[in-house]
Amino acid sequence: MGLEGLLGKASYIDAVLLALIIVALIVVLLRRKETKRVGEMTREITALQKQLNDLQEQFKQGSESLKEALKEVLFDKTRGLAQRVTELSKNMTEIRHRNEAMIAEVEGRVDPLKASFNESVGKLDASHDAMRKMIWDTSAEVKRLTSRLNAFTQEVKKMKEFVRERSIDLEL
Amino acid sequence: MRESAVATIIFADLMDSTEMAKNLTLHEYDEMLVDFQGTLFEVVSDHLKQYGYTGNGVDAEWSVVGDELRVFLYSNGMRYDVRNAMLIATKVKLAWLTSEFNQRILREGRLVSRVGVGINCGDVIKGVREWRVRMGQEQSNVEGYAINLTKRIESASREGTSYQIMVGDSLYRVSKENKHLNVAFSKPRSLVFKGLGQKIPVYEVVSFVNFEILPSMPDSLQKGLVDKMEYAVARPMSEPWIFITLLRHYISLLASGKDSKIEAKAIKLAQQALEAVDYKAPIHNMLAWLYGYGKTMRNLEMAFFHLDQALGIDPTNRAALLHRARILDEMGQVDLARHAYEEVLVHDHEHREARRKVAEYIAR
Repeated sequence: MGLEGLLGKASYIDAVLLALIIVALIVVLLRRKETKRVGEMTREITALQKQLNDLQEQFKQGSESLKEALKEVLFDKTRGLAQRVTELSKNMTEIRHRNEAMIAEVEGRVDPLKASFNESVGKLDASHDAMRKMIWDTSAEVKRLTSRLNAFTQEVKKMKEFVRERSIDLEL
Repeated sequence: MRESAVATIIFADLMDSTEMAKNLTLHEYDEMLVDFQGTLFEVVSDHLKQYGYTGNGVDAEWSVVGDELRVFLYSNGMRYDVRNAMLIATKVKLAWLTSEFNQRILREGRLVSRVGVGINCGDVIKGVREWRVRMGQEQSNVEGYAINLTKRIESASREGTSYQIMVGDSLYRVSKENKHLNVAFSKPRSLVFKGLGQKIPVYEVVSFVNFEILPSMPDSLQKGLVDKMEYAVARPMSEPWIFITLLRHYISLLASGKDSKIEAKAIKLAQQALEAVDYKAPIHNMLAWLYGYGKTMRNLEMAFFHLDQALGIDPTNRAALLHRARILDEMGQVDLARHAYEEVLVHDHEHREARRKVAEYIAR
């Protein structure tokens, strides 16, 4: 019996069962393929994690060595600087001592002059005060005289007006 | 201590005060009296201070009793005292005219209450009475015939028609001798006063031209003074002295350049004054001054006309003679001007301007 015979004897149920078998086969095949891909990806992730750990380790080591290198550089630099600061401070102290000595010497020489100068200033102040008082007195006197002169001018003006008006009185 | 002095005496009181006392209620009369006394105080106290009187019996004293004012001036300068007496008299009249009381009467169209004044000079005895000292009042008493006479002269002021300022013969003589006082008097009236037993000559002031009257009024009375005078002269039957005093004020304003716009106003007032004033010579002189020296209304012919009018009233009027000479000189009428100046010298041979001008004409 050939295929045609078989097909002619097969029922609808057989056809459905065949279709189910075919679908199940396809699903199995697809599943197998998916499992294979997941396995590959897991391997890749593991490899990447390993690579990351390596890099972290390398960075850690690099950082440490950089820190050490910086520490060394900074120490060298500050040591030179500290040395220079110490030298400068020493120089400053010397200069200050020299200045103090010089000031003391100058003061010793200037004090008599200062006393004499103060005396002169005192005299000048006194004469200035006297002059100011004199000027003030003169100014007050000038002010008083000006005021009297103004009053006198006003008085003369009034007198002139009086004479003029009285002349008019007598001419009316 | 009692001492004699030559005093200039002023008596002034309200005219018709008895009638007013009858017609007014007691409250109204008292109100008027308070106003009058306050006015007298303002004027007299201020005047004596301004003109250098010490007062308190030293060189002057004064008092007010009821409606009567008494002032005694004895500064040893009779001419000075006479001038001040004339000023006080005119200022009292002016102050009373412009008082609240009289301004109200003017507004009601009634005749204002007037002040009568009597002035005279004479010997007095002054001294502090012992009884006064014991009373705690040390003001001196002034006694003498001259005081009684002045009181009588003052009573005659009611008969006056011009200034109603009456003067006795001694004051008249002092005034006539004083070239620096421009005062004119009426012809004498011989009056017989009660208790004096003989005829006494009394003169009324008909013109008193003096620039000091208005400026020397107390500050408290200065406000609106000229306006009040202008209002008073515009009323019917206004007193002649107000015209002369106001015109003299206008001329002062013009002469000093303080107000050059009142020329027309002054001329108008002077023309009104010719109607109101009996003694017109000073008014003609004022018109001549306004026309002769004015700027906007200058008219030498009009000036000449008024001078002729003044000389027609009084041919010896020195002011008119002098202005006529000046105007003729300005008009180039040399011969007439010389003659006019010579005429001035006839009446006042010491007149400087006239002497100088006549000398100039002769030199030509």
